[in-house]
Amino acid sequence: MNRSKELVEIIGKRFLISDGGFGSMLQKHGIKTGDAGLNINNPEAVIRIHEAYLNCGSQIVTTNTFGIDRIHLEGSEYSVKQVIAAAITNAKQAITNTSKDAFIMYDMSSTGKLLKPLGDLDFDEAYETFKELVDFAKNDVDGFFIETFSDLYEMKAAILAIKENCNLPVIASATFSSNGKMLTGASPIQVVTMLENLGVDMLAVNCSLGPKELLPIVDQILSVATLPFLVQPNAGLPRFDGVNTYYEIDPIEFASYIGQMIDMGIAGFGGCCGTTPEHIKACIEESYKHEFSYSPKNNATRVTGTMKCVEIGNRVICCGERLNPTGKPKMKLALAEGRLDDIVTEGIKQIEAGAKVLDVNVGIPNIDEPQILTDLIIKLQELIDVPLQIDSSDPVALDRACRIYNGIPLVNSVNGKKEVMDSVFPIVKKYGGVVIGLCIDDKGIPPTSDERFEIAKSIVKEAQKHGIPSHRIIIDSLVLTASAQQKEAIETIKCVSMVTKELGLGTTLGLSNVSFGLPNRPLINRTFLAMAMQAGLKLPIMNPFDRELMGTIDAYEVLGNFDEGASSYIENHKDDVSTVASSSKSISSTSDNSNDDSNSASVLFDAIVKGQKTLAVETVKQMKDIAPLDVVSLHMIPALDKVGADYDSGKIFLPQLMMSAETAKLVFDVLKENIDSGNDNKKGPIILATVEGDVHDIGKNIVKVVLQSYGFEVVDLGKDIKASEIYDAVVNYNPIAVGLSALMTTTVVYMRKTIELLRNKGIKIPVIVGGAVLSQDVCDQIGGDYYGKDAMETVRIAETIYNKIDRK
Amino acid sequence: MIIDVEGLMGQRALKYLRYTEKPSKEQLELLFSSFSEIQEVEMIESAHKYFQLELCDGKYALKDSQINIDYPPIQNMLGKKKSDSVCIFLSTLGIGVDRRIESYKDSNPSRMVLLDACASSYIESVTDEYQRSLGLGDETFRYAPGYGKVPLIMQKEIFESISEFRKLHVELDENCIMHPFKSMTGLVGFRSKEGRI
Repeated sequence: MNRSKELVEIIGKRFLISDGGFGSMLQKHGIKTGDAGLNINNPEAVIRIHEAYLNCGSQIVTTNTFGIDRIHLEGSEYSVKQVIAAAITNAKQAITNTSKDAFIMYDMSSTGKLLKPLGDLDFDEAYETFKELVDFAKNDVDGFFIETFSDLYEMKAAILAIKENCNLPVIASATFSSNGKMLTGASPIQVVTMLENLGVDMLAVNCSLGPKELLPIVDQILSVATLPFLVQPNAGLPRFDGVNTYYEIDPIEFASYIGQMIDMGIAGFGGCCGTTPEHIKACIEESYKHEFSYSPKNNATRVTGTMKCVEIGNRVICCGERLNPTGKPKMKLALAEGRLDDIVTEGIKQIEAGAKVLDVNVGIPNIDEPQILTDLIIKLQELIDVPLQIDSSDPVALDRACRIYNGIPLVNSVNGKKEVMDSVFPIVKKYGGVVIGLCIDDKGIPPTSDERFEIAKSIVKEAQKHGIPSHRIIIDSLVLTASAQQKEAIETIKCVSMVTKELGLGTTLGLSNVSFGLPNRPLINRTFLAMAMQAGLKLPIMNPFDRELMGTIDAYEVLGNFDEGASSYIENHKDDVSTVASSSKSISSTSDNSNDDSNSASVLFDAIVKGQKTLAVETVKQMKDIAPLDVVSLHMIPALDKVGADYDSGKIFLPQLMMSAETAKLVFDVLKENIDSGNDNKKGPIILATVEGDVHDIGKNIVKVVLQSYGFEVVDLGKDIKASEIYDAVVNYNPIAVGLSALMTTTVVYMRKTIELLRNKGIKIPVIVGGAVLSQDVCDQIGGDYYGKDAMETVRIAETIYNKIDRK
Repeated sequence: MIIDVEGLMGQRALKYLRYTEKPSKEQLELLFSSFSEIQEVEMIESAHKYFQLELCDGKYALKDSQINIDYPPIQNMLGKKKSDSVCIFLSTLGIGVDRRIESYKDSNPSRMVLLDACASSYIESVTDEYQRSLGLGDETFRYAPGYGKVPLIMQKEIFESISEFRKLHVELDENCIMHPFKSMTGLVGFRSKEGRI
């Protein structure tokens, strides 16, 4: 048996004992740390440290290659290849000198850079950096020890670089901060999910914290890990003695914590910063007093985003369906025009509406699907932290999107066709995905639940041949239109039940098809959803903006005893009471419409004042007997005026003012649909921009929201906008005013330049200036017409300007 | 970090919102949920460096450093407390907080404003805690480039001179603004105890 196979055999069967800190040992011998040439120039020192760990019982020699890669060594006199070769030679020499039976693990560490979009390193560049290390080391080591990574995305690049280029075992060690998360926000459960699904051989944590601080993280990892787990804490927290950094925990205390962790179920141990051979020796002695108690936990179906981990288990999880161009002309247009930001905003709104996973599909004709899907995934993951469901029938698009995806994706989908499974399963396997299996094969969608169930079983069987365990499969029993194939709606439900009970797998359904062609589609949809959930449906793919459907899930979770204490239900529906009350009033007083509208007007007023968006929108929809413009002037504006007065008098703070403004804008949007298009009631437009050199746009955005709530049309040019661009916009939009914002004294000069350009070009429209460094004096000095001290003042100025124009 | 909406953390957020009244229960709940959301996405990193002070022509200067501290507020502060050392430190909440704030720009601007104010307060609390963890109490006022009459350009000198800061994933732009935005540098003077320097 070769050494790497022996290592795999040991992992999880008995304790694997790693080595300890290297830097602290160098420091102890008076040798400078962080010297890339140490392996070459002072091999004796390196070998001496390896020997010390081997002699005290370490079974692993990790090569002295921390921080060795092309990024760290840029400009160095040593090449990566030289350093790696010397480091491996030193490790081998130490084993020869001590005659110990130890494994040589290549120590692979972070590049020190953050990957895009958090930093400036491309995923592919990170991959190539790690691949180079693998290529230089793979023939001379027994395995790879990935350690001290604080970014899970970078770990993915490192793991792929190893697994795609050799067959050696991998131990992957994450580093956690004192808040219990990795630097980039991944939780312990997220880390376990990612590392296990990517197929490493052993999980590990190291560095950053001492053993005491690591205990809760170890506990969380052991509560879900199926793979064996190794721990390498620091010797406590770093302290500074005036000359050097030192660590406070001595070997005996350190070992006592390792003993606790052994009882919790760890399968290996070692040390990191500040630990010495004495620490490792003490741990080995401590281990004799404890039983090896590693036991794998049950498999679970989990997918992860950049910071969120979702388990498809007991709870019903809403997967938002709106990032799919089918039947959505606006999204089709946005995709065709490359306006990915608009699509991201739609994603954010779905999450705010309660979606826990988002389906992402860009399938429109004549589009470069692999490129656009990849671009959109990158863009979404800049701002969205929930797991994504990558939805494509193009295996190339799936492969590229899954590769750059930061997390464990849900892959939509395979079906019972052999060629589809053969092309998609390798992608799922390689990137650790969870895959949706559709109950359709070469013969189409079978009419009966039994036949669909057979396809589900064949998908599971075929997946296993590709090394994908069944818990990484979710079955879609497929929803057909009840109006056309009425008998089959219940077959779908039966199949959901069979997959749940007999295969124990998670299930998904795309809901909205079922009601197509029938009146009152929402009623059919939510009834079908309730039936499906009772049969075991866990991942409905649906429109999260449909409050009735979302409410059905919430209610089911309460009645099915999944939502403990009905806490989610209460949180999501605490405002519904007023809605029901207002509806009841409407129903009970149908004989008196004026009374009905009067009640609604009162509810609307309160909802705007309190910033209750849903209630306000639902209420205004009921106010059918009041002319839209009367709703605006008699109810909406007075509510906003009250909020404005409360803000001016200090009763409420700015976010509350804005919540009311946002609510009023939504109400206004509803009313706009009913306002006679011939009615020229447009107020504006007003152009807003944060001037050149200034990237702070929060103040400008506040003004925008409040202006919009008062019915002004706003053209928002964004931040860091050049004078010439503002002039071009003025020519294009013919606004009634221009609003300029600046936060820094250094950028006020650009504000003055902008005003000068407009005036030199003969533009006479008023310019309103605002921002933290502005005052009436500064406004006067730079040629502004009005100083908007805050959002409410800007509204008053805008009303003044508008009224002057109106009178003219 | 413990979220204390009724303590300094909440008071600072209210200050950033320019709110001077006693907050209502509803307002405190809004602050709490915002601080909690920041905790979900923060990626706190901190680093520091100690400097010895020397007197050159009657003015304080950092020994073996190119960082210019010849600004009246800093000179007065160090002189008043008879400091012989200075610690300069940097803390950041990380890019995740900036991105979360940005994500609300179109969909929920009021949330954006709340988070922005709370994040500004949060980074101050993080910096306070880091300062305490270094054993530095309130020896002197904590100055930062851009504060009072200390020019922002000092930020550039700090970043160029302190290599420890370059590892923290914080960048300076041409206007000396730090990215991520919710980052904070601080300069504190102190009298060295035995062994500290």
